[in-house]
Amino acid sequence: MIYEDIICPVCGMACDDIRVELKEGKVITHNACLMGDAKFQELTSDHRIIEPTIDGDVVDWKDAIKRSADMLKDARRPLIYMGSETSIEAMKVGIDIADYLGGIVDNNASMCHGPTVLGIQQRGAPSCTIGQMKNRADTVVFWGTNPLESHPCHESKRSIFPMGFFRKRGRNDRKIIVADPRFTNTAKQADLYVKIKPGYDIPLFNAMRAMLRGHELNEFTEEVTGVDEETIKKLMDMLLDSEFIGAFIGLGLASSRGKDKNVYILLELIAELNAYTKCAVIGNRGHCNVAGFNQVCTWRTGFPYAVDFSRGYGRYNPGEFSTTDMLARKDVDAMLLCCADLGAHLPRKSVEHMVDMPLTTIDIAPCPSTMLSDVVLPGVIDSMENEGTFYRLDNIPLRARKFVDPPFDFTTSNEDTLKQIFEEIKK
Amino acid sequence: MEREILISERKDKKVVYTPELCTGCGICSQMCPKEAISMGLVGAVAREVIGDLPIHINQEECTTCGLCARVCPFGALAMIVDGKKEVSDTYVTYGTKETTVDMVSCKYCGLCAEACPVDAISVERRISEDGSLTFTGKVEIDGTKCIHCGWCSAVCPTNSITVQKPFKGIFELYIDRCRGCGTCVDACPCDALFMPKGEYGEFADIIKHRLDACIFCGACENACPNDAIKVQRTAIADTIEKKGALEKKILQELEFSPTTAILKTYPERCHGCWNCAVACPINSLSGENITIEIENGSVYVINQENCRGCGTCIDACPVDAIELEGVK
Repeated sequence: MIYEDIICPVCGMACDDIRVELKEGKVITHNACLMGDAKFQELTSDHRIIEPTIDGDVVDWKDAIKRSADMLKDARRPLIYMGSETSIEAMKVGIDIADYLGGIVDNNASMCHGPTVLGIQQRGAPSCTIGQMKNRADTVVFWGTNPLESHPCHESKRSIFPMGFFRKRGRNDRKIIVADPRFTNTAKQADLYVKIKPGYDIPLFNAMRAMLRGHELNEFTEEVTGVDEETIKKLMDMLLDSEFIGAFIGLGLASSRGKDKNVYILLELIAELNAYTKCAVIGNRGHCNVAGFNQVCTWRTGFPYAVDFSRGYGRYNPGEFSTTDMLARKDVDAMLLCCADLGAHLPRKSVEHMVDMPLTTIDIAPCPSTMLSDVVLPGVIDSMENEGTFYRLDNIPLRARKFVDPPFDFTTSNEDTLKQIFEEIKK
Repeated sequence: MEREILISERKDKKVVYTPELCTGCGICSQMCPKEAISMGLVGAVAREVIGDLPIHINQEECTTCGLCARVCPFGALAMIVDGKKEVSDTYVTYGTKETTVDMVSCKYCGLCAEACPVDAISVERRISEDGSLTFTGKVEIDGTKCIHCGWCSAVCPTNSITVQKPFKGIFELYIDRCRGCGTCVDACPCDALFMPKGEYGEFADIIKHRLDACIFCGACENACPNDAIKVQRTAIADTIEKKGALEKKILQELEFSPTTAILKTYPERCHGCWNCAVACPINSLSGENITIEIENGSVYVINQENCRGCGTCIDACPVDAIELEGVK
């Protein structure tokens, strides 16, 4: 069987043109990158988790659900961590559980593009869809991001090579600027590569703003920013010569020194550039539905991530209520981990507390997190085994449809699993 | 240093080929009575993504007749007789009048040198020492490099330069087949093809042609992977002697036989980014009948017959996962 226009549930691009062929027990994907293909191969992988376990022993589904619910109910301050590789419908249930229990709800955003979200909250971002970028941008800027590795289809489908409505010559109609401390595979394709000094984005943005206002740069500019005046001038000339600048920002900004302030100053610069040309900015969100969590969480609680309900109402304070910090401070006493492998990615101190406290994990394959868990519930692969809504990195919702059934019948989706846990909690 | 390749030798005659001067126009291939010359991957060579030659010569078939040398407008093929290069007006490259500068009216402004696409002109300029407020100096045109495109003559503010073009002809661009890959722009020796930027907020033409700079060599036609360009020569310059034999061959319309290339892929290096497949002008024109695709996260050549070796995919690949092996 061949299934057309399937949504890829891996990176923030949420490519919606994947063709999947199921043939003699094998999965053949077309148009999916290496990362996307690996996820689709999970459909037939031999390590797929298909049975619930408690402390490593296979148990009845209902027992596992009850144990999960009990662990959360018994906790004083549970953490519901909704990973990004699931639908917003499941995320909504997760947020409701945290709200009901007076716990905390968080997502990958808090350790990923959270600072970008904070910067945008402070300054406001002129943005657009990546379709607009494809059709209009004649200068594409990648600042602190290497989409060839993180979003492999970014360049081909949206930013560098596609033929857009106003950019009919594809790559030949666009100028590419890459700012990165490392000469990445994306930088290889750049018309201008700006080798920035790690953590010194703010002085460079301010130098660009000064130049934009007609000021001369002083002799310390190169020493501070790591970029010589000639390159900054060339960069500004290219930007001001553009009809439409599409700026993609990555974790190089959000996770280096300065964090949300890097994004804030960049947005200031973009606002000033908009007096001369058109400039829109999009964060290259890493996970498939991480933008979706921010959307759902905002409309359910008023805040995008790291929301604490312990006082009966939502409170938002990244750094205090974000997962890494809560775990490191041992401020939570139970955890429901859905569709994310925190065990492999968090700092050791945070993971140590995951070992100490009751932990339920919903996942599709064995990983460090499932090894730490008391209860492991088989996950359903959203956009393959059940319907759901995904938000692309530019905050555009896409409806994913299922094309195969899950390999078990006790749950139909992660949303269903979470609803069953929620029902059990309410009992 | 230009390298010369010996093509064939018979008695005291030799035909030699200078790849640095060759643009892949294919006139020699059209002329050769033995069909010993076939086209290489002109686009890929122009893009410098393959270390191959723009034409391939079957040395066993070559009879050292020298017709290819007579017809080559760039002097890339030459006939050596008794160890000396044969230079006569029966050759297109030597029969075409040399580009000359009228040193009386020349103001040494240097615009010709700036415009010359092959850097054949050098201008030296200094202030006159006769008391007048003028420049004096020297203008030198390297006849071996000059391709008679006419740029220098067109930009000269004093009409001091005389250029004779080797051919007259018709250039046709089928814009509906053009995907803006720019291979023709890279291949054109005369800077006659370009991609206009367009006015602010307006649609720009995908490709534009400067008719006055064109010498109708046909390199663009050979380079274009989508057959969007047609070049037809209609006349050879009057100054070329004994041109009857040449006219019969190179002014006639030939049935076009496309060059097919062999693409080699390295799936282990590939990220599946799809850059090659999206950049490929043949893929974007051919609809269902595509050439390259990403299967199971790696690049995969579906239809080798489709590939015309323009090299756009190789330019687009940042991880060197695709390369051209040569002509099929």
